[in-house]
Amino acid sequence: MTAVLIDGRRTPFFKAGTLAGVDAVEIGTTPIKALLKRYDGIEKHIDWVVGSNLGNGVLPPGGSNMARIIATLSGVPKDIPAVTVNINCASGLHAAIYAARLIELGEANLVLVPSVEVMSDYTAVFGRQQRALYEKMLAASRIKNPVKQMAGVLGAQMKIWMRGHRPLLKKNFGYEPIWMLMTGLSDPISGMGMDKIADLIAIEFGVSREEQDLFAYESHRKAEAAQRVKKFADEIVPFRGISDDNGVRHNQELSKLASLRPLNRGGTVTAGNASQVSDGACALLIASEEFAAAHGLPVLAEFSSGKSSTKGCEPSLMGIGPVFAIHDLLKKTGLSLNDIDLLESNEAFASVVLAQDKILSSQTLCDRLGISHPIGNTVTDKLNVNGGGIAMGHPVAVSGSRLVLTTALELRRRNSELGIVTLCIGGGQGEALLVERR
Amino acid sequence: MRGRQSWRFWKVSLEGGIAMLRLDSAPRQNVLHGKALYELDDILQDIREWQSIDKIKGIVIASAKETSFCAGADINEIWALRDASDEKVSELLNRARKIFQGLLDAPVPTVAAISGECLGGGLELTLFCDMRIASNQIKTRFELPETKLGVIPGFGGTQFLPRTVGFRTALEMIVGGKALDAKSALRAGLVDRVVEQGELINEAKKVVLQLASGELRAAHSLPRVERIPVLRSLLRAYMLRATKKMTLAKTKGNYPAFIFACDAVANSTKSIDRGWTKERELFIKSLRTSAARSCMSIFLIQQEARSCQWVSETADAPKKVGVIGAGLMGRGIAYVLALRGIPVIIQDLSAKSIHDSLIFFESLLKKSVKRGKMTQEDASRTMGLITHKVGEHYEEFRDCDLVVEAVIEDVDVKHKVLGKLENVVRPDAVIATNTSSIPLEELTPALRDVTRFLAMHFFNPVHMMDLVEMAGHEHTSPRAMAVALAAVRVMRKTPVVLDKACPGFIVNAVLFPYLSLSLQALLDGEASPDALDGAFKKLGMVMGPMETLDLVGLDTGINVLKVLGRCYQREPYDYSRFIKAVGENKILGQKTGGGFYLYDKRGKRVKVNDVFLAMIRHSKADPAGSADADALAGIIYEQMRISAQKLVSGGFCKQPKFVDLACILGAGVTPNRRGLLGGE
Repeated sequence: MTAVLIDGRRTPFFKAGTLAGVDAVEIGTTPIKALLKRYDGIEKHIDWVVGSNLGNGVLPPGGSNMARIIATLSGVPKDIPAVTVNINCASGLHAAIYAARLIELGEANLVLVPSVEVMSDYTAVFGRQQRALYEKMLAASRIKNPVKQMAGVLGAQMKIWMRGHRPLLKKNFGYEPIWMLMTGLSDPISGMGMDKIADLIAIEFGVSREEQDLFAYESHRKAEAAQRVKKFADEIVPFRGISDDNGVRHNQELSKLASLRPLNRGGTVTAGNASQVSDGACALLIASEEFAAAHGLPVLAEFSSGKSSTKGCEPSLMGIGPVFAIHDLLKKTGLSLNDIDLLESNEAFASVVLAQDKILSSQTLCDRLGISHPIGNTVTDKLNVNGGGIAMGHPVAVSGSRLVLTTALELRRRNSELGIVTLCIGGGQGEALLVERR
Repeated sequence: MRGRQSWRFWKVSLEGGIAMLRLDSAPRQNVLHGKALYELDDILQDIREWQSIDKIKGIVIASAKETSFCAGADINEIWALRDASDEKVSELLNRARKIFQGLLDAPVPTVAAISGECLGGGLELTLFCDMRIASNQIKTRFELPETKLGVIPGFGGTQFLPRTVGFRTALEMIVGGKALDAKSALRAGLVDRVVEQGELINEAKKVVLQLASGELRAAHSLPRVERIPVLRSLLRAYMLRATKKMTLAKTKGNYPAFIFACDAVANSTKSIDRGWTKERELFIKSLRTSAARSCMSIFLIQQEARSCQWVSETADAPKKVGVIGAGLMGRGIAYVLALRGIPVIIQDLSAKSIHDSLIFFESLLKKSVKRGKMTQEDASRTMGLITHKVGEHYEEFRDCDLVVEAVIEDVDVKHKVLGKLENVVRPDAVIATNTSSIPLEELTPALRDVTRFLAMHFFNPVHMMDLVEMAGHEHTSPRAMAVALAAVRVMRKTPVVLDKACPGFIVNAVLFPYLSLSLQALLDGEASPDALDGAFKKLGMVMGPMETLDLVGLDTGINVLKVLGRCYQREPYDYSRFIKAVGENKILGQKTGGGFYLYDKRGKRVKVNDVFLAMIRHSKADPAGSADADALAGIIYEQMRISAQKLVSGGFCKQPKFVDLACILGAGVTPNRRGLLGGE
């Protein structure tokens, strides 16, 4: 059985912090409800819910399996199972592939793929050792004898103070909680932040600051142009009265980007040429071809898990994962880059997308990374035609779903056939999926 | 109003008791030529005669065009007066004075409603109205450019402007050539009100009715300090002296009109009659100077170069232009094209060049917006017209009508680019190269169809330099040249088309002896840089040779000397010491903070760079220079003249006036002497 994309909706992407008190459940249910309203009564036919989310539901135990929560609250029958997948940055894409796989295996006919990420709502936690410190404080405060209590509190405080000021231990024992946003945006294996990795990649593959800024500028320009002709009206459900991605800066000036200070000393990655931290949600309806035909549902695009690829790479060079994935996908499908009409590569960092282009078009770099042959330039007129994460934002688990939806809609708009969606994945992987339209 | 119903240059109508006089004297820009002026006289006469019957309450003078109130007097008419007798000029000026006096003594209030440019004679006309109201649109501009043409304002401007806005602004405008926009004109007191464009005529009508009924009284708004009697005369004397001194230092006495203008303004403290007579005398005196003759002559030659048909065919302006190479020249060309509304696509191999070009466009546009020359929307639109590409995407040029190649000066690179380009462009697209040093014949082998190929030589910085030298080779088709010319016209540049291409074209061929001989004199210890520069400036050069080299960069200078030396060097000269010193110490001129002179951080010249001079001088002769710099400059100037004559006699540019025009616009070669070859 072949999996087809029936339809999808997403909320606008909001720069983190622009919406007060937004809740993952509130924003996550919005596109699902819109989809279920559009296809009235379809919720009865849903067999599985495969969702994606990283930082909102998973960490607090009460909110595990975010897909289940938002699907149920949106009106999906309670007996429908739900799972939340996590492959870091490409979770949204992976959920879609997972759904396709369920359909191919015959386990489901209609799968709802919701994804949500509210990065403004990421928590901060205290680690075990930190908790131990504060526990002593708590114990001391319960002592009845005031003298002993004073002594206990002072002792506990002294201990905190001393540990807090010992640089070697500061990381684990300091007062600072562990910010989930920072943890989420760094690679646990190499211990480097994503910005640092992007800088490394820029140095490693010779991507200059000017190229990155130019790429970021283009991303804004393309997104602005798309917004001006209301291209995203097909996919966006207004949320709290806002109907456009608010990260896109109209009349972006290159000189402004060029004047930004790098995030790391001596680096080239700035807040301007990296993706924005955002909130957003997306929902896709994926069905088997037969089911769609039987129920008279439209078919936006089709894809199969066989025509996807997930590859690992060096964690400290996580941004080049898509190179391996794209190469593998083209090999699997027997296509060349020229056959592809659209390429959507997630703009986690401008340096990352540009490095992918440099590698895939250079024999020497391909040799160095053990890729059999270069396949050509990826940064062309086909890449991210309506802008990408740098302009619109990159709510981690949602970007993958958004790219699938955007690519399918753009293929329909252009009446072309083949699109590739690819994302680099923190932790050193890359994933790519072929989206077809007939 | 009953006399004649239709006038040729004025649209006259009676609207609610107000006589509306709308100037419409020329197709694009209004010009206040003699006939329009005499017609105004007739109209005023008419109004005087029929005023009581028509119940005319006031007069509003406006323009029938939104962007041009009046661009001033007709230069051709002034030019025709150059050989007329003093009496004739005097008589004409007197007649004009009577007409303006008529306006001043009009029986009803007069108001000027100004929108668009208001220059020279047009501005003087408004000074005779009771009140002036300007629209706040971007094109509104007040200027008295007469001194730039070597004459002084002759319609009473030197008398009435100081009376209206005070000495300071008057001197700035008349002598300094300062242009005011609507807002600063209001601040200076030149106009009484500034309103929206759509409100202009209504406001003018309202004001003239209020003036008629006595609700409002016209008041001259002199600056406060100039209203205090004793201080006023002291201040005025000081301002006059300072202005004179500054102008003399700047012009080296080559342009007496500035001094005459100062004198005329000085006389505005006397009675109007006396002042006016003095102005007339000084106008005639300035008209007789050689500087006036040459300035006006250059102006007319430039107009001819802009409007004349250089080739047998005509073509429409290109709809889309491609620029290859985003270096200094490429980005400048792209900017000017986009500024004039032509979609441009600019390509460069290096992302850095494209990046820097975009920032260059942004900063220039931002400056224009900040200075009120352009609205933010226009700036965004201009930016939107520029498409940029990094890498080799020649297929992007397939729908261009004209592609300008401005890549590095290297024959092999240019060959490759041109070959690839020709494979993709439309068969009727014109390909131009922005080189002047590489002969076109060396580049033609790269192309299959050579008839579409020609050279367009722009000058840096492109957005400021007016000149474009153009040349074809023997097979260039007239249509190709016509397309390129149309592009140059849209860019509002002045084209000079060579009859036959020569190495370096006109400007560089003339600059070669200038720069090389001056440099040789310097290296041989015959003169010091400041003495040389000073001597040439006394001759009338806008920039001295050493300043020029510092500005373009010594590395570029050496390159030009090498390339052109192959064709024009008569006696071999050993520059090795100089080249070595430049290369080893990275002393490249103003951009590195030092060349023949030392510069401070803001690029201001501090003093002569003695250390560098000691490094490059051949003999340790007299460091101050032993030869007479003036005599030396004279000899070098003669060599330049010979080079220019060779261009004419060699058939490269058969019309001497265009050789002069190119030299003046491209290199500032003695505009006071009408260039090198002179004549009319």
